[in-house]
Amino acid sequence: MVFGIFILLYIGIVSRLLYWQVWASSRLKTQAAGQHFFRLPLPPKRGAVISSDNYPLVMNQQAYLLYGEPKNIQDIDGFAKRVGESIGKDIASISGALKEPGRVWVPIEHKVEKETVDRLKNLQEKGLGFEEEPKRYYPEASIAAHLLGFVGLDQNGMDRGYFGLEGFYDRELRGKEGSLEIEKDVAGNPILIGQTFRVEPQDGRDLILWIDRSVQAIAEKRLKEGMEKYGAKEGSVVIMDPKTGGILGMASFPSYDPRSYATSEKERYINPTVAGSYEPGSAFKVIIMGAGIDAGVVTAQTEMDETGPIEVGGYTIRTWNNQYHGKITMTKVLEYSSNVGMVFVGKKLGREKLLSAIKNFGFGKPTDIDLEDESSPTIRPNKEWYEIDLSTASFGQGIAVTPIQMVRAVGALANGGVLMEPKVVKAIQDKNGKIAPIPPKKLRQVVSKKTAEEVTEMMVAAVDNGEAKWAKPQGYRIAGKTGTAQIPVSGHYDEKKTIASFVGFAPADDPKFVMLVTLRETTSSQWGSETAAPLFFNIAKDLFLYWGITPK
Amino acid sequence: MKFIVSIVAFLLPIVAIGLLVAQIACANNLAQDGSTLKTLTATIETLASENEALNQKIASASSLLEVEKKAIAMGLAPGKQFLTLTQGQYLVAFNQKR
Repeated sequence: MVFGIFILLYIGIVSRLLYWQVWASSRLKTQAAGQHFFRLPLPPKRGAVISSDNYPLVMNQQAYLLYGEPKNIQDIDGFAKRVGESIGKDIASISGALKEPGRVWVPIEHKVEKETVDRLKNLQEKGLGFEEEPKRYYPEASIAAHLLGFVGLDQNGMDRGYFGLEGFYDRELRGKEGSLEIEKDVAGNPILIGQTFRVEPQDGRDLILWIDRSVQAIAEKRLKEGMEKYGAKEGSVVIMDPKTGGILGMASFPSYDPRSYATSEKERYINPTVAGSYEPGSAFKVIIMGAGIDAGVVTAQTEMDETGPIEVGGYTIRTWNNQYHGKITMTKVLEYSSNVGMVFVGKKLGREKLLSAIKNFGFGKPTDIDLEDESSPTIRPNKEWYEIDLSTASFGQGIAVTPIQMVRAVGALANGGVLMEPKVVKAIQDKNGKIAPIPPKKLRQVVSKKTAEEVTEMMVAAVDNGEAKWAKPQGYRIAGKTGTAQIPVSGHYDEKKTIASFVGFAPADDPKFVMLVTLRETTSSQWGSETAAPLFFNIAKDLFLYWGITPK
Repeated sequence: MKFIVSIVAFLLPIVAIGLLVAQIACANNLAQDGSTLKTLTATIETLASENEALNQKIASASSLLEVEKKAIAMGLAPGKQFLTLTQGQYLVAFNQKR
């Protein structure tokens, strides 16, 4: 009996020890450490964002965390008044925080700039301390705001990147937090000869972009001018290197200032070039034409009879200007931007090939660009596509795409038929200068090289002989296509509201860039050939000059 | 034996004093090293901080906004017309023998 009680006691003690030593070990250790030490987090320096021409677009600025040590302050109210007035903060809140019982260390203000800190140091306030806490600095002001994103605070009060690159690469940029642990006595005061453990923070890594600072500035300047000139509500420009998928410039307005993001409407934070969908209109014709040629159902010389409007599924499809040219080749279909001609190509392709080509060009799925806010409109299942849907899709209505999807798809026509994964970051550099490149990623061959070359020639003809030929810079071979799509509002199209666009690449024989320009709800003219196209050519002229591309 | 003991008794304090002096010298050196190390660390931190401030100044001064501002102040204006030379359009001077 006694032996049994001893055994039970023994088992009880062993179980309890097991609970303390194994089960509750980490919690108890943390509790014990909390009683013995107080921990000060040491924030790492966030990595910089550098353009491909080696200029920082985002870097760190010297700033400090201001803190008070109540035990070393003799007159808390006077201290709060002097400090509060210097930094422009409510005196009562500083005083209140410092007077809270048991506080040995009170943060007063985050990210105070160096000039203010120097002024505060001159006050020689006892109990006022400073800890380095860098903040974001934007040498080029609000340039590329949608692309860069911004840095705010998370729920623990630590820096965190939101949207754009700051959001997508937050883990790379933020680094690893360090800490300073100081042994304290029972009253919570630091022990003078006690132990201190300092774990140095690991600074974040720098991002080296494909973005060229000058290209970005050209795109933003011209887009702003174009929006004013044509009275557009919104506008965007995406410039990509078709051979690598590297994004050379990406601009969209209205935008916001990352230095004062909190004062902007939250809807402005989202980058419309990767998250905003639109109906591409006639610009989409080059994709369907490419699919038709690749499938062998048409060639550039194939003729169709454009005699008048056509009836599809009870709907009448007309050309944009209601003019009809009789027998025309596929090249002329693109030059005249004929909807009727494109319905001919769509019908030749048939449902399965048409939908498969749209998906093959990357529509309906995110492009996996390295920006946090990307989203993609979905493409409904094949069985839900009726004859009229297939017909309108062949000339770019009734299908939604994002600007980045569109520019990438046309990029495949520019580079010989290869669909690339668009990338903003070219390489990541650590603090020792070691660079880890992010190689360009080829996804798949969407059309043959021959098809890509044939469509390129048709696009060159569309620019040289199309509606926008008046704006084209002389001496350059530019492949492109205008687009004007009506905006769907409550289930029907509003005839007065359009999205004008122009997509193209140049020089056509060895493209240095592929670019998409979109303008929403222009007031001067609703047509892409009179708004987006001249804006495209204006930007192209600047790019030719910048890259030293001479006319032939 | 007595002779050896007396020599040891004589040498022992000398050795002890020698070791004491050596210990003080070493401790002093270590303290100096520590102080030097502290000074060096502080210098590194100051230089790193100055370097960061200078990098920021360079970035500000070389920003496109600043360059544009200075260019306008100097009376420069964006070019309206550009002359490009293509093959066969060389200036006459280019064809002269040097």
